Amino acid sequence: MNGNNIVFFCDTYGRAALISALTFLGTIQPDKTSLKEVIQLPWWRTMNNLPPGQLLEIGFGRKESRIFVIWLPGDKELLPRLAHSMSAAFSKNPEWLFIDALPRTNHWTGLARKLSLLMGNSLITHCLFLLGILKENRQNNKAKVAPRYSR
Amino acid sequence: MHIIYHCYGGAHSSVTAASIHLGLIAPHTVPSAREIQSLPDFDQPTEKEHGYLRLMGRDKKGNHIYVIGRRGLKNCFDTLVNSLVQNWGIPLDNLLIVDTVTCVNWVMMIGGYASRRLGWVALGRPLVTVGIQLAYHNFVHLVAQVQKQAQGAVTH
Repeated sequence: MNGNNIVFFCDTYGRAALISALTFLGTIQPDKTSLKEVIQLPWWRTMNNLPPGQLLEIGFGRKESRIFVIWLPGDKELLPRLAHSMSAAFSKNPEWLFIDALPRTNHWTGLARKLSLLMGNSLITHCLFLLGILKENRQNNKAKVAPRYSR
Repeated sequence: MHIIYHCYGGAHSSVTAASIHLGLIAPHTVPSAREIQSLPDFDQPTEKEHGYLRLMGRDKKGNHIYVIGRRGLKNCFDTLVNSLVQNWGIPLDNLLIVDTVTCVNWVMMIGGYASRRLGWVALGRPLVTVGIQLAYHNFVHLVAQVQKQAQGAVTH
């Protein structure tokens, strides 16, 4: 596969990855979109059924780049390493860029993480995660770029 | 075909299984401590190397044998690798992913933790070596199953 594909990844059940991806695509504007609007996004049902480690294509960016989201239950920093070494091992040169959608945590996402350990993936943790991610994104205004592994 | 042996740190159980597969240690007799400790990368990888696929060699059938430390991604590792590979257009029947933690005993766990996590190599390495000797037949059995499974596959 050729093309500059972008993969947004996180360890928050895909929430941070999806919000960053939709921000990238222009569907969400961190400064303008409210928490209520984010909660009402039709994507959440799909995300709730997305198993960890499964790529989900959500759209096309500029120059027909494919945009993916993925979530991992932890150790998310291993994803770019794995992809880089696998592409080398399999002699593939996919032009993929991996972006950590939530490189930092705040009080809200921290609380959501702790609660999700106790009560699992629930509506409360969902809202707390979204609140924390939105606040974080508003502060950053754009996602941090993880190490790029191919051109 | 590509065969990936994976475990938590990619330092002990995956290295042992891959070494048996490649014929670096004989399957019929339990190897000595010296033989085990001289296996390539045995008890060496650190956290910085976790997540990187390492080629151990090619077996007699031409299959590529890899090891990797995938840390806490045990339950989603197959999904993750398959998902990436599928998007790169590689057929899934060209890939075999093998979790070697099923062969690990408590002695190996304690030894591995002491050596890799705590840095107590003098204590951990001999312990994990004894653990491998105790669990050796489990590794041999696992590798035999993998080789049988790989036999039917087409090598690319």
